[in-house]
This record gives sequence, structure tokens and C-alpha cells, in this order.
Amino acid sequence: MMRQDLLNRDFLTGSLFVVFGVLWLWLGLDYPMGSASRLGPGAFPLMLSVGLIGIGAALMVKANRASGKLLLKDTREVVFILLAVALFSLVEQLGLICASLLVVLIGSFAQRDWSLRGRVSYSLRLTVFVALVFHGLIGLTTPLWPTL
Amino acid sequence: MDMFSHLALGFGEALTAMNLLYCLVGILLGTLVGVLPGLGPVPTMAMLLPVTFGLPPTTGLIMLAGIFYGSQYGGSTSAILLKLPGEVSSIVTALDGYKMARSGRAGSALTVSALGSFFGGCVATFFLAALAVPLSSLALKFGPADYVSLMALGLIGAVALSSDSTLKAVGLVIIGMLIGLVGTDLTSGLVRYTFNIGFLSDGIDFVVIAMGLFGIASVISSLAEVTAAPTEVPKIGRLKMTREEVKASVPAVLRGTVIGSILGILPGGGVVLSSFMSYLVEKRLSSTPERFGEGAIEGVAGPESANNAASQTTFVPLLILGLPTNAVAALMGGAMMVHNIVPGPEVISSNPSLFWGLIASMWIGNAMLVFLNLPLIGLWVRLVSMPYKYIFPAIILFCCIGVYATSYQPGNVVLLMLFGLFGYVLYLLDCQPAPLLMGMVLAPLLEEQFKRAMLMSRGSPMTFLESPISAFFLAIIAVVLLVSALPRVTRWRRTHIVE
Repeated sequence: MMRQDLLNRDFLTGSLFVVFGVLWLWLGLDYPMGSASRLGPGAFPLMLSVGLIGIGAALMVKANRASGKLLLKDTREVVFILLAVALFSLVEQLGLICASLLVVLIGSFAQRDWSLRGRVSYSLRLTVFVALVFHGLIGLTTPLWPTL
Repeated sequence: MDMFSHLALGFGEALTAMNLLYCLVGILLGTLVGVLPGLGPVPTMAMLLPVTFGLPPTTGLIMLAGIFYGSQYGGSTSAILLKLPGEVSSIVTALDGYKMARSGRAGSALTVSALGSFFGGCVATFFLAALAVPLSSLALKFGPADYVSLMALGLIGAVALSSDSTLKAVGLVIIGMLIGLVGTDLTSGLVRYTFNIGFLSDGIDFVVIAMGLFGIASVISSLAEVTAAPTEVPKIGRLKMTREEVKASVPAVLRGTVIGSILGILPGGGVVLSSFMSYLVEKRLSSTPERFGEGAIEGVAGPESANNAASQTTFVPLLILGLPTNAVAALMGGAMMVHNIVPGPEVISSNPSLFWGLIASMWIGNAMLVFLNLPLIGLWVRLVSMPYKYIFPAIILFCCIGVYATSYQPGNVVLLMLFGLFGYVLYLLDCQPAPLLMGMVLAPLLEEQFKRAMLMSRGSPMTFLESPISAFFLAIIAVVLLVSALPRVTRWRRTHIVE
């Protein structure tokens, strides 16, 4: 197969389906299947996984030029946004204020044309707003300050 | 219980101070979100789901519904004034509406859009109220096999009407279902697919997936596309319409309302399909089709009525049958389930104040929208000019806080990130995530009914064909699949349907 075909979007989607289907199938093999009239917890997932694999395979075969190549150009946005979200998972250690600041600041880097001062200023303003609304108004019980 | 007493109950519920307040909040937020391109009702509803947990269920649903049909009003405003449709369903409004604005008739365009939307929304709500009791009593006669086939029909219908190829959409539905099965299986007590991670044994939180797939992912993809620089907004002028304009609009509004009310019920269909269809119909029926694209008022009146009518009837399958037919309905269904209200035909009888209260509030909401939006237009215009860079970090932060606040589980934030990534991958692969959400919401119900059907038939899969209702649904599925696989239809879908 030519390299071009491997990047075909439908082909990749189909492969994704097959991989997921196989994964779920393998994970679910240990669950009891039961009998036809008394289906166990493994039965329905088994049917679904097999169906998924079938569809994925069909998609891989059917994939043609029309669905286009996979274009990977927005890595900057992806990295910063996802990093920002991941950092928020430390909110229990960092406290709401620091966590929010980090999220907005890191996230702001996903946008290109912005001065550092602008980013920091906006992050501070949004964090204050969030602390007032979520902690003060809505009554979120998350600690505001770090509890390291 | 006749219609009059139902509605009395409903209005009594909807007119409480709290419900009125949250209705107002919902429609204002919805309009705001509708006006702003890039942010849609789905991520907003997802972000506000945690807020609804602390509210009484009726209030929460009233707010969520308000966000949705409010966004249909808002989308038209930026479509008319800036040729920037705030919502996909407003794309057709931008065609003629903007031209009308450019020739000094912005006021008429905005007025006909608001009034047409109001009419469409009201009639469709009435439709919803009228269908409720007969349709639900029919549905109560369904056996498990019938439910399975009905749910399958709902899922397949959403697939057929999405712009994706059928194979891809079905695959996504299945992935959604498999995700929905993560957690404890109620009948056997076995915990599935959790890798022994504690907090997953209750299943993956619906809110996390919704916010990740629709909120985070849409921020990433929106940033990738450059937002258009705000152009000069044309002056609005008089809000009154001329007599000729009224004469031309009325039939268009009536036709649009009918189209929207019917198409809104179809799985996957809804607001986008209705507005496009109405535009096509108006153009076809007009004696002077050349005017379309140049400022024909029917091209604004019809689609606007259609998309608002559809935004009400889109709740028919969810509220009456328990079947969400698109992402919005799936979100509402998820919100109901958090309050332990399983959507289905029993909801009308077991929770009449919820059902009729919601319907009554839809009327009230539509009325509020007309009165509030026309004066508030200046505010919306100023907001549209706000650069996206101030909006997106707020969205990200709100999603994070919302997800964390749901269960105070940092693990959910990690999941949020993963689903955000997954949503973006789907975007790169040109896949629509909505079928996934629907599959996820329906999976536990579908599995339970399937098991029950097989139990009752003592293991015979023929039961799905033996029951006439079930066989009927399966036949429709077959027809839908065949038709949508036809090359001609596939091409039409690709070009005409944008989700």
C-alpha cells in the first residue's frame, strides 16, 4: 500500500474502529456470557465489539481518495489546551486560585498573537472573576489556596 | 385528565419565580451563545449541566431547553447583521438577511426573524403538547423487543441524517455504546472495563464526555480556524415592516413552521435540516426565485420559523418516547437521568408537573425572547465584536471547574482531557461526535431491554420479528439504511447537511 493511502482519513478511522473493537473484545472476554435466554454481562459488549471490528474492517476496505488525507497542523493549539486541562486535575493540591491561573495562562498560549503582559493580565482578571462567582456566589467548596 | 388541566398544571409550575428566573437565564445565555460564532448550545448546555444538579429537575430542564431554543434566536442576529451565522441553522438566514441589512432593511429582517421564530416556536410547542398523551399511551404498549427496535431506529436515523458516511456514524454509535457500558452492570453486579479504577465503577460521567467531546474539542478546532475580523455593522433603522413585507412573510412563516415541526422530530434532523429545507421550498414556490440571495424576505421568514419550530419538536422523541434523537436531546436526557428520572413514556404520567411545566415554559420562553431580544440587539452586536481570545480560556476553565465540581474527582479532569483529545481526533478524521453521545446515553437502556426481550422469548432472537411493532421499526431501519446508502442520497447528504 502506498504511504498516501495510509494517511487516508476513512482508512485511519476504520483502523481506529478495529483497534477499539479488538481492545474491548479482549477486555471483555473474561466476563460471563450466560445463555441465549439469560444473557450475561459479557454478551452485549461482545456483540458490539464484533460489530465494531466488522465496520472498521469494511471502512478500511472501502476507503478511497474522496475522504481526504489526514492533516496535522494545529499541534500548538492541541498541546496547550490539553496541558492546561490536565493541570487543573491538581486543583486539590493547588487550590482553586492557583489552578485557575495556571489553566488560563497556559491555555492562553494556544492563541498566537498575544503579549505576555496581556496573557497575564487576562489570566488574573478571569481568575478573580471565577473565584468570586464559583466560590463566593455558587458556593463551591474547593479550597481556594494550596493545601500542599 | 384533559388538555386544559394539563396546561393549567404546566403553567402553574412554569410561572413560579424560580422557574421563570432560570428560564430567563437559559434564554439569555442561549441567545448570547447563539450570537457568538464558534460556541454553540451543546457545549453551553454541557457546561451548565453541573449547575442543574443542585436545582429541582424541572428548573434545570427549563434552563437547558431555554439555552437551546434561545440559541436559535441568537444565531439569526449575527447572521443578519454581520453575515456571520452564529449557528449552523442560521446559515440560510445570512444569505438573504445580510443582503436586506445592507440595503437598509436590517430592522425588517430582525423583526420578521423574531416574530417568525416566535410563531414557529409556539405552534411547535402546541404540537408537542397535543402529541404527548396519545403518543405516550401508544408507547406504553411497547414490549422490550419493540423498545430495542425503536432505540435502534433512533440511532440509525441519527446516523442516516448525519453528514458522515453510514459506516462511520454507526461505528461511532457503537463506540459510544461501549463507553456507556463502562461501570457496574446492574443485573449481575459485575464491574466492567474499569481497570480497577475506583471512581469509574459508577460509569464514566456523562458530563465529562459531553464537555470533553463538545466543549474542549470545539475550542481546539475553533482556534485552528481563524475567526473573521468583525466588519462594520450596518445601521438597523426602523424595526417595523412594510405591508408588502408582511404579506410576503406570512405564508413563508406558515410553511416554515410546518416544515420545522415535522422535520424536528426526525432523528438527527432538527434545526439545520429544517432551515435548509424551508429555504429550498420558499425558493421553489416563489414566482420570482431570482430574488433569493438578494434580499428576499421569504428567505428569512421561512427558515427562521422552521428552525425555531424544529428546536421545540426536537424534544418530542425524548420527552414522549424516551429516545434522544440528537446531541441536544441526549444532553437533556442525561440531565434527567442524573435526577433519577428515566426518560420514557412513563414520565408524562409519573412526573406530570415536570413534563407540562417544561412545555409551558417553552411558550413563556419564546414570548420572553421576542420581547427581550429586539431591545437587546445593541448589546449582542457589541459582544459579537469581542475577539475569540477572550472567550476560549474562559470556556476551558469553566469546563474544568464544571467537571471537577460534579463529583470532586480530579480523575474526571484527566478524563476530560482525554475526551477532548479524542474529540479533536474525531474532528481531524472528519467524524461527527454526536452519534457517540447518543450511543452512550442509550447503551444501558438498550442492553437492559435486549436482555429482557431475550429472556421473555427464551433465547429466541426471532422475537424481534414476531412482534408486529418491532418488525415495523426494523423494516423502517432497513429502508432508511438502503436509501441513505444510495450514491445519489450520499452525495446530497454530504453537500446539504452540515452538523
